[in-house]
Amino acid sequence: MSTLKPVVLGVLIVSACTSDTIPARAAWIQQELVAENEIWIQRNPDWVAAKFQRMVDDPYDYLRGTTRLFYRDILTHGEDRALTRFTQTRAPATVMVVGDPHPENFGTLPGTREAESTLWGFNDLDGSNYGPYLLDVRRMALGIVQIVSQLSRCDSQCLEAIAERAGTGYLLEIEQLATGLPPSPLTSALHQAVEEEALEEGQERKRFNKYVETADSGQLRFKRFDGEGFSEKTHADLSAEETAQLNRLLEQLNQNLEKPLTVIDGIRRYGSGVNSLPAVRFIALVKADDEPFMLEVREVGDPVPSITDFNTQPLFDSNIDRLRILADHFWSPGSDPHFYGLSDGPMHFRTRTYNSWAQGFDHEKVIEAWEDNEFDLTDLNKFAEVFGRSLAQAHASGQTADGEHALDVILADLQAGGPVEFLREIVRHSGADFRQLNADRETLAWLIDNHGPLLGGGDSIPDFK
Amino acid sequence: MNASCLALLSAFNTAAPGEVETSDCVEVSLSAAGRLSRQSPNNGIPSFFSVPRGRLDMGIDIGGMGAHLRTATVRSATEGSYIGIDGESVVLAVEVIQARWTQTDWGLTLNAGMVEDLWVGTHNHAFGYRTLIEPLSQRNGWMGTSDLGTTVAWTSPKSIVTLAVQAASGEGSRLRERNDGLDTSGLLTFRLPTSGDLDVSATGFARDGSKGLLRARNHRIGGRLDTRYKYLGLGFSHLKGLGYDGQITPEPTASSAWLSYQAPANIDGLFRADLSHWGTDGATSKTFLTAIGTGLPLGRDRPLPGALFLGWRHDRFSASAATLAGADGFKKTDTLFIQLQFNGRGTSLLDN
Repeated sequence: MSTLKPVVLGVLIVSACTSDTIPARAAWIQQELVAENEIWIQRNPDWVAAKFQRMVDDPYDYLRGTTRLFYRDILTHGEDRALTRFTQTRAPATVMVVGDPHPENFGTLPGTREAESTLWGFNDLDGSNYGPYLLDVRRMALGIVQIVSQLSRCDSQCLEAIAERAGTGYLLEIEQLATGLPPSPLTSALHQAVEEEALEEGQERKRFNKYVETADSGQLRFKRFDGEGFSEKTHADLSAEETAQLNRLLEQLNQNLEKPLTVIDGIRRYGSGVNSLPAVRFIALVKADDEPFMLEVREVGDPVPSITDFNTQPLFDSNIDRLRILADHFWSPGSDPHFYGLSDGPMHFRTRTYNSWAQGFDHEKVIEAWEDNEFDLTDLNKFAEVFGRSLAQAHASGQTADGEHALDVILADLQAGGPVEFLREIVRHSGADFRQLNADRETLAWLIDNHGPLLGGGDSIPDFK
Repeated sequence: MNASCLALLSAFNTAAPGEVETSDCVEVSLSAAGRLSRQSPNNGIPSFFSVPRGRLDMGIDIGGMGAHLRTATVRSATEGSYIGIDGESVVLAVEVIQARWTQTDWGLTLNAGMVEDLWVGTHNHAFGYRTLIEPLSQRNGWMGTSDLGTTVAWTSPKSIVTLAVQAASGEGSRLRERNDGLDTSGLLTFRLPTSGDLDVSATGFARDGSKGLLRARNHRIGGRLDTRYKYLGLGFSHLKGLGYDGQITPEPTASSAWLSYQAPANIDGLFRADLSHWGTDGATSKTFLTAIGTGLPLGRDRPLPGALFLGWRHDRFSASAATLAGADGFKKTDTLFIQLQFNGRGTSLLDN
């Protein structure tokens, strides 16, 4: 790979199609995005439209909204495919994977409050499953390249170097852990900024104080507010149906807890996330041991499409089981004592402690800090390496579907394919993925222009009328 | 003329004009198979049970006018999913629900509703071992079992020619209509006017199709040759696609050849070889299936409703056709299996 940015520009120019030229992947992208969002299109079309628009407006949000498409493309034979020399046996394709390990899905975890040192981890396990470790690394590198591509003063060589550094971090950490050395500390200038934010805002209880007030009666309650349009967050009263659902979910949660929670208040939260923007999301104000705190209760779907065929047999009892088991492997003990999977009829949810000790990377803040010269290219490379190491640590703590230690399996596969080839492959594949991603974003813009904010889903499907 | 119950007769196998006389009747057919497999390489779940076939057909015919309902068993949570009906229950999905008018003295049948796909339906009839393996085009996701639409089929005197024309939504049985275009398909079968133990037929098929909201091209053209001589069956089919599954650029092809043997002494044997070209990068996949079994129950004459098969299936993929492209771990799979199956039909005449 030699020229990421010029090629992207070329692709974008070529694919900046007029309305009477249908982009080659338009039908495929439309089909996949509508299928993935179909339930939400019926339930909450305005927020699906807002999600699609957000994906068009921001390259990083496009990445966040197309996890399923990423894996569907890998599974599909319809176009030329990037070949790998790894996964020479089936075992390395059956390890516990994060599914969507991009930077905004990583951060400090709520249990940092009680811990001796900051607890880091992938905080969104919606896509997690058993699968090829290699695709996790590829998606991780793509996420970093996508953030960095939005920074000025980082050309194509810089992007390649960043992708290579992320791969190097992964490789070095796997080798280090395999020799029995302890995990590397996750420190870079960018990590430090997130950590400082967590420690400062955690101590202040910033989120709690921002969203909770004391009513005239002396009772704590959530503040309600309406964000402007779809771009800002809204905290709204619960409908009777939503209240009943939240109560059912919290009753179920209490069955898992030694110290049951008392519910003080609840609101419906709109405007968070990208892929999950139209999902049902509650914030509950609860109390345990007389200490009030906030819980986020959010709808989750299925994991990312399975690359490895497990003969149609599920590897977990349910989504609930999946989230808990994978969190237990990926996270240090105590990372979030209130992280649980719950179900309500056909809907699945996960709860997590919603406090200020949990902070994550935010691509807009990264871009802003870069433009303000708060960090330099050396810091950026270090960030990529440390991020690669963090994925290696997550993988190393998992196992294969057959119960083997994932670290041994991954190490053997990396050694068989060779570290040099591994790095070449990560650079080559993340470059190809990056070019495709940005060409596809142009196609999504074309679809919205020509087929409406729901891409032709919703009312335009005859049976929906 | 022979009195026949037409309740479950395929639209594509309508008898020649004047050869049969309808009788008012109801029919039920059940096809079920259970399989235990052992797969290599080990993916974490190397041994597993499955239901490769679970089909229930019910039909009624009154004077050539009738209806046909076919359901198939499906797992309500798809691959990798945990969200289904009542957990992940196996449910009955409607594959065919059609009203049918048959004018036996003209050799003409008209179906409307959720109708059987021309290519897949006739392939299964010609192949005869659908319980062991599905048509290659269906396995690759290039064809479906049925679609919303209508079929007209005509069979010539002496059954030398069957011509079928179909108009359908193009989305298949599992999706609602997504566009205002119709798929139109035609199928023509010639049968050599042989007598005795030899049957030879040649079939041509073409479809002008589109899929999805953007009407992505989804055309097909194919041909099939199948022969039967006493206990031996031999067949070959080839299908080319122009676009599939919402992708407009690939032009894949699927070829299958099979040899089957059905001896009077309860012995069954099948060999099938499949070759797919995925239309890009020289991506190819091959499947070889060998199965041997015994018809059941023992001690009875054919046709027998049951069978017990022992089979071996080998799947091989070129680098760019492997599920994870290039990965050696995905380039081949061997599966040994044992399968018990039943396929029976009951007919009851209606009182006039």
